[in-house]
Amino acid sequence: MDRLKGKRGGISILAGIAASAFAAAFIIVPALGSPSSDAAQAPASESAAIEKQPFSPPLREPAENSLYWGDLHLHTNLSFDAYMQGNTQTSPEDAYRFAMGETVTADNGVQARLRRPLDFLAVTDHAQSMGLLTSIDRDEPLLAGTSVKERWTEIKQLVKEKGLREGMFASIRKHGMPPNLPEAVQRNVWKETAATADRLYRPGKFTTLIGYEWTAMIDGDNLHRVVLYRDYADRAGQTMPFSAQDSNDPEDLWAALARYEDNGGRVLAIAHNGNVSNGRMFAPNRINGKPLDRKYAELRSRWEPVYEVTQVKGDGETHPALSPTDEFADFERWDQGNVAETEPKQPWMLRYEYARSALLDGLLFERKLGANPFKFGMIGSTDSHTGLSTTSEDNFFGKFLNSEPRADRDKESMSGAIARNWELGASGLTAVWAPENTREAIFDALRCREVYATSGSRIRLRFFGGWGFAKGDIDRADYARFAYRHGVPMGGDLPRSASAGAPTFLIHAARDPDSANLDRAQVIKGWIDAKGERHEKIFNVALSDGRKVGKDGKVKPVGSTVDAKTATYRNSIGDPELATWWRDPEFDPTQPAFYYVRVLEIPRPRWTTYDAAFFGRDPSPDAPVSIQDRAYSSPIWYRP
Amino acid sequence: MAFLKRIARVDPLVLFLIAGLALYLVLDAAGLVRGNDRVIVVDEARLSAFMASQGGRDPGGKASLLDAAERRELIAAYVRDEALYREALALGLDREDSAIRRRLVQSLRFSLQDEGNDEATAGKPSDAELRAFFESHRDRFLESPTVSFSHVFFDKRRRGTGAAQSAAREAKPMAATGDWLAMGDRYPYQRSQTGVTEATLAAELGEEAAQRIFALDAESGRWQGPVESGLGFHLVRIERKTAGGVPEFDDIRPALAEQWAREQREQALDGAIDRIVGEYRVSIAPGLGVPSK
Repeated sequence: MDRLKGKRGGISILAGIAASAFAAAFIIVPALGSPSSDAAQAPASESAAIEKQPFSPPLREPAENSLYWGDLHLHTNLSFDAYMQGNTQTSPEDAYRFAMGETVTADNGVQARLRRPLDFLAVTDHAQSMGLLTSIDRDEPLLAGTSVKERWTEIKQLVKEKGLREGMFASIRKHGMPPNLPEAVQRNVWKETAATADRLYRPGKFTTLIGYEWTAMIDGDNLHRVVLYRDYADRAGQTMPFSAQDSNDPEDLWAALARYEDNGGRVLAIAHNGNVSNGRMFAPNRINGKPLDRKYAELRSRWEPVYEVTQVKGDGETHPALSPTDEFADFERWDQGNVAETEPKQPWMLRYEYARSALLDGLLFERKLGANPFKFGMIGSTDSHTGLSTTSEDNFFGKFLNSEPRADRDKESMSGAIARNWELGASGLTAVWAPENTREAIFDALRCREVYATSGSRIRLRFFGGWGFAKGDIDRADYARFAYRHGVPMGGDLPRSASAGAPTFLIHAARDPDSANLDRAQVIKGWIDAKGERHEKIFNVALSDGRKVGKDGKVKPVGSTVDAKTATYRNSIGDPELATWWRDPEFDPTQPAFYYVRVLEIPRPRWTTYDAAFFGRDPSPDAPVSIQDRAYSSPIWYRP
Repeated sequence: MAFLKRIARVDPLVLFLIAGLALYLVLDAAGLVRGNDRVIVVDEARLSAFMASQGGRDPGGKASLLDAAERRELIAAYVRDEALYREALALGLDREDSAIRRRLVQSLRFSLQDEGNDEATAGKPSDAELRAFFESHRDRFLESPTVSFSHVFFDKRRRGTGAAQSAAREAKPMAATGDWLAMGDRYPYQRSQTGVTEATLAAELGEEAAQRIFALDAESGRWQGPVESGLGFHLVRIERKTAGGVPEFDDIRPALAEQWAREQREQALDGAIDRIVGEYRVSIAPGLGVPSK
């Protein structure tokens, strides 16, 4: 906050427009008349030589659901801000191929390959100006005779000289807003993007999802949503993405999604970065200023079943000011201001920005309105703009070209703005429990919230709730099959209780086989009392190394094996697996509540520490040396 | 007078042609020669199409839904564009513009591609065609070995090494007939795994155990082991193994069909382009040093 305040005077009034880079490109200009916009297609991307086409093994019918890992929010060179800041080469095809385990050349020239491929990926470029600069690059004929190429070539030069923000300003001051792509070209770009996803889809092996980002902002406050389709290019590719140019109001987005579904498609939206929304993400008011009503609540939970709680621009579970007794709340904090960095954070905003607080407010709204607007599960994604989905501390490829691996990358600023690169997080991943790795199965799991988030490592987590689980049930070899039959998985509602007892839970976490041991598993409970007061409490339900919760409710820290100098750690502390049965000891059947699980790894070096060791530099003075990566389950709700 | 006399000496045919030309030029100036070419018809369909071609407008929009002032404006814009478009064509501006040239080439390519697509999807490959395609493209399908298996787990930590091993041995005969999912101990990861490589499995079970599982008999479908890992003992039922190298024809049939179809489309496009090019005689200037065919 201090940093932001200190620099505020230097930020022009126009910053709100240009700071978030792409904003300036959103202005509509009349397209050049194209005689038949439908027949027009983009030139086929270079021969797309597929030397080795993997085959798809037959789908299987599993007994207990399988766990799949992926990223649902990734930008490529089709995104205006990615391209403008140097990520000019990494295309959606590269992004998918990298995620499925192939070697791809990053924009900094490094050959990159994932240690472990992902199971699924959605490439989600900004709808606004999607493919603008790549279309200019490949000499899109439909741009001939328009000012698009000329203006943007000049802007590119200015940006090179003065940086993104000042370069954009200079051009806008001189000529006014720069032109966008003609609609015929926009349609081509979108069709091709959807077709690429279909072409690289390998059911059972690697799932691609068609999607885009609706990059809405009000006064520089972030309201962004990723939109994902269950459908294929023949349907999803025919409908132009709904962009912030069309409207900045999420209710208009939902209306557009509803129109799409009226024609038989399936689609959903995922919000992210409440932490840079300056109190707007989970606000009690609609954009039109009226208080939330029942219809709003129903629509929001209908269209937005999950929330992206962790990503490169900070973690969104909770904030130290909101959860002062939560010793792990101060994690990858990114709370200086709004996304455009035009307004600093005020304390009142925090309540409406973080997931835990929103889940609590959701319970209040449900009591008041009869519907819960904030009934969401948790997912994590990268929001990386490099086309490369990397989430491990030791393979972090940054957010833009200037944060791709190289010495001193941590000291530069993102987008030439205030936040510095060391503040970026190597986060996050979406874990999906599904019967098979297909587009349909992954979409359906998101819809019913049987998904969870991690801040980057592949911590395995099962979480079931029910009324009758016995202590020994977690030790059954087939506890998962048993729990599906006799309870609900994460993301579900506890059914009405037949007995008077408290709800019981089965929790099972296993460490990422390639990463750190586990420190602990916690149940985080939120509830509303009779007076309408919000409460949250953290229960340490499973602890590593035989630790017990003390009489004062405190737990001895797990310790640390991190050696900053060499950027190493040892799995000599922590446990590889934590499993437990838990019954809510403070259950009051009259109080609405939610329960979710947080699993913490033992400390390991943060990416900045790996960088310092690798490049032989001093570590970033402000960055934490180590990090405890974590998993957040989707909640299970109880309604009286 | 001298002028008239000179005209009288000119061939009557030439005179006739000159008079005809003059008349034509007069009529042309009056806009009567080209008849309908000089009329710009404005109707609902044209206006709606024009609207759709303008950026930022809803392509489903109808001109009739606009109010009168908007419609007037739209009509004026349409007329202006249409007139300029026709004049530009009449002046031959389309012939020397490289962007338009590229655009036309692109349009034709896409329409040829569409025809190719129709052709290719109309015919499904026969078994023999697919097999032939497979044989000639085997190297494309080269894969690293994978295994798909289910396992019953006996936990060393919980039971102790000796007890876990004997429990696994005792359980082995029952696994085939009983409910294997309920047997043994809770396993931290997946109990049925599909298509995992040895490297992935090694991260979970250790390299030796992964090697042992990969070495198990793939054909039997019975419970084998117990295999020892760092975690405990595993009764393993191999569901399927891919030996790496090139997979079986039947397993990759859908992928083969897809690639076959793509190749058909590419060939169809190449063929269509060749046919068009073949209708031209190419004359290459000798100075280029490349003899004409």
